[in-house]
Amino acid sequence: MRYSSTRFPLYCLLLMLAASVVLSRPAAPAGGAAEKDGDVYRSLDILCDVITIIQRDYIEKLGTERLMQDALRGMLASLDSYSTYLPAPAPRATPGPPAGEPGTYGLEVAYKNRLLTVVSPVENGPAWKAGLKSGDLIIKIGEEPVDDRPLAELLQLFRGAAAGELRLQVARRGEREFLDFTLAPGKVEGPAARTEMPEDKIALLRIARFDRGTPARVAECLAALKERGADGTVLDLRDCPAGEIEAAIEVAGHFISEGGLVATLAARSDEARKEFVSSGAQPSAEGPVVILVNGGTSGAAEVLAGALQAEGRGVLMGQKSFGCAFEEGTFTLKDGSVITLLTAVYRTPAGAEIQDKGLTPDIEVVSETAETEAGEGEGGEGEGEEFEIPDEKGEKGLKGVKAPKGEQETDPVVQRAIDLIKGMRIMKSKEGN
Amino acid sequence: MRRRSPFPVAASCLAACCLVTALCAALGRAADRQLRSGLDIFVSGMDIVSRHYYREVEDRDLAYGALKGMCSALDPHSQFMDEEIYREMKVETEGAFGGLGIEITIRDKFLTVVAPIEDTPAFKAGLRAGDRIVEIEGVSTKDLSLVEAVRTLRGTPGTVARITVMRPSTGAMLPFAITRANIQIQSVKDAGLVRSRIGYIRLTQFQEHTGSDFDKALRALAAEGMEGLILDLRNNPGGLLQVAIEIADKFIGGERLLVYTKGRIRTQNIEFKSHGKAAFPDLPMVILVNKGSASGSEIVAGALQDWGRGIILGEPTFGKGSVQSVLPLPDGSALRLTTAHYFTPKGRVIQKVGVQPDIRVEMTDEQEIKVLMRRRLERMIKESPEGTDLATEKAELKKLGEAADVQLERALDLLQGILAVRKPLGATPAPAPAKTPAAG
Repeated sequence: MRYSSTRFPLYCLLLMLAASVVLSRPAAPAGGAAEKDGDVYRSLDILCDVITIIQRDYIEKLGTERLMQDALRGMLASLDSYSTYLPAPAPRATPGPPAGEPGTYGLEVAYKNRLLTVVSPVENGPAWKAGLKSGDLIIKIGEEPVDDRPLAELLQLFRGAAAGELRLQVARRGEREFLDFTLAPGKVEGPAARTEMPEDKIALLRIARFDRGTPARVAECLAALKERGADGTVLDLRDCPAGEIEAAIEVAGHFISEGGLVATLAARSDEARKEFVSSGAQPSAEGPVVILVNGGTSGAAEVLAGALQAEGRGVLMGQKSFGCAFEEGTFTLKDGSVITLLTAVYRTPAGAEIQDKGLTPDIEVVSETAETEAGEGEGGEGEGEEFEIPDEKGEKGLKGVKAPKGEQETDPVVQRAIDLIKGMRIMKSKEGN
Repeated sequence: MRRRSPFPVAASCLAACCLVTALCAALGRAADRQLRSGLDIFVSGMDIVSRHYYREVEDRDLAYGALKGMCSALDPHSQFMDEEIYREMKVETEGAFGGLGIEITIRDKFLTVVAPIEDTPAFKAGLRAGDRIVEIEGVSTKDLSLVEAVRTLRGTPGTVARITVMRPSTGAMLPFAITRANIQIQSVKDAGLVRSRIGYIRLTQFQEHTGSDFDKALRALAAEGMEGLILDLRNNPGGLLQVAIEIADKFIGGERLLVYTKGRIRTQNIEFKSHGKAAFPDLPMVILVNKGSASGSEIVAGALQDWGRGIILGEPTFGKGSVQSVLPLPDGSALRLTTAHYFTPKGRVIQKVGVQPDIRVEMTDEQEIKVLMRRRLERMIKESPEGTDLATEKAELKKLGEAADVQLERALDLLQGILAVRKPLGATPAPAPAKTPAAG
């Protein structure tokens, strides 16, 4: 054996440590216990072998500490793109702007396919105004390439109350050159939710973000719609990133009858596992619901959309959502290093995990141009013609759209949703007869 | 079952404790203490993950994740290979596989094209040295190890590989769909005499037959009256070490050191020397290199430069000069570890530094592309059977206009100058430009 001399004491050490793992664990289920313990020894055995070999043969002399840090980093990185190991706690971010002037970039990011991706800019926030788009890949922050900077650190940078301007270099699909953006922290303006009634008795409810004020604002909107006799809702959750999941659960109460399941939180430990049920909040939304989602729909918005889809309360239309709804935990090891771990993930009432998978729409709207055109807010008469019109009734609806005012009238996806609600109403009335 | 497992563990733990204590006390080694506290932290981290992560993960998977992280953090060529990857690596190094015809490495954490090899699908598609492959089949290459990347790029000839490339010089994201082919490369290219007495040979890589083919070409040129040689190693990503040594050996005679490897343990220190009489010990030479010249090319260029056997002209080379050893582990996995670096005879390290040209002549990407296109068109016209309609090719060639290979032109001038001043007295003096440096 090549490394017999150093191996013996190491092996003993290892046995001892492995034993400490086994003994410190909660009692394993009876069946696989013995097998599993053996596994711990073997796994750590190989780790020890490799450390010994590296310290002896590698071109550079390396200390154990560094190797162990890389090992822990690798272990956490092998789990998912969120869990991280930081050898030292992240330095506190620079103090934010004075109270009362919330400074934010209004930008949600995540690692997707291991590239730092813009989930979505928050509508009417600084990043949104600067022109960043859902799906943009961030290559550089300032002069620094993003590389493998841990997400925990990046989230603090993007979400947190950063003080200064942030320069980003971005790769966007379809562009041949990098795009540069400079973001100044500022406020997200405008209401979290707004509503209009583009057609008779069909409400359009747009939720741009989920924060603490969102449920109250949604309740106001729904009350106003009810007054006008709304019977059918297009719930627009496109490009609605992250936010407070509790707010989404509260909002779900307006759509799902009291006591109905909204979401579950799946975890290994009993205390972290949870079920969320509808509070049956009033006013309740009447009539059929079509929920619009896209790749910028994530977090709270996905929990809401997933609940309505799984409970059969609404039809999901658009593109696959981003796939990010979890709770995280932070654990400090005794040398001060920090592990950030996904401790629980949200599931829809149907038991589907949202994390990484996203929600698949019932009706897929493939066209990308639909969104950009909608975002530009400029409408031509011909725009709607690019989209297939399902039936004669739908076509009538499309023509009818020219009459009422409002910028949303030119959004062909919204138009398709409206058509769908009309169709659902007709089907229902026929059933009634 | 449930009760059985902790007991022997506790017993062995106790025994182990005693042993460790005794041994540690006896040896009193700081390294052990360091290792122990390091392992302790690791084990506590592993424990947190097993208990608090939202789903169950096998201990083996956690340990393998750790090993992969630890080894790939060392350098781009070191890697932990699980059983499956190790098995495939063994198969691949033996068999013939279809591929794209690029040499790749990881540089600045990006999967980087060292050089597209001439006449391969990648070369024809327009991949360039330095291009960063950011996606393969729509999946980011960010955490892909080199071996994994090579594995995904290889495949049955005729199948298509879709990759997205970021070109650093322009920042453009370029999609490519490249059909895999059996890569059989004629590695000795365009051998011939230029300006009547200067030989030119381009080596596109160092493979099995390169040595003998090169030898044949050299002898043919010598028979035609070659007085000086331009050895073009631009965009040559390397290949077999033995072949590179064989090439250098033709110009450096005696028992001279050509290259050596040096690691931390003695078994990794190996010297490679020339043996016996060199075939062309005095032939004046200029060696062309650029940022696509790597590994074997750098070994040849470094040896010729250090022994004063040729003038290196062009750009600093790639800087790929590390040696990996594959160490099998008891559970069927294996470790690929960088255990040594290559050094030129004068002790200059190649890794990351590369070989610096004696005369620096840069070419822009645009210039280089033009030269390569011109070369391709000319060959097509030359090699097409008679009667083929070559109108489009000829028109394209005309459109390219003067695509001067600046580096080659400079090398030719230099060599012509050297030959002029080298003419023995009594021979008809050639009108040599006086400013030409008489390099040794």
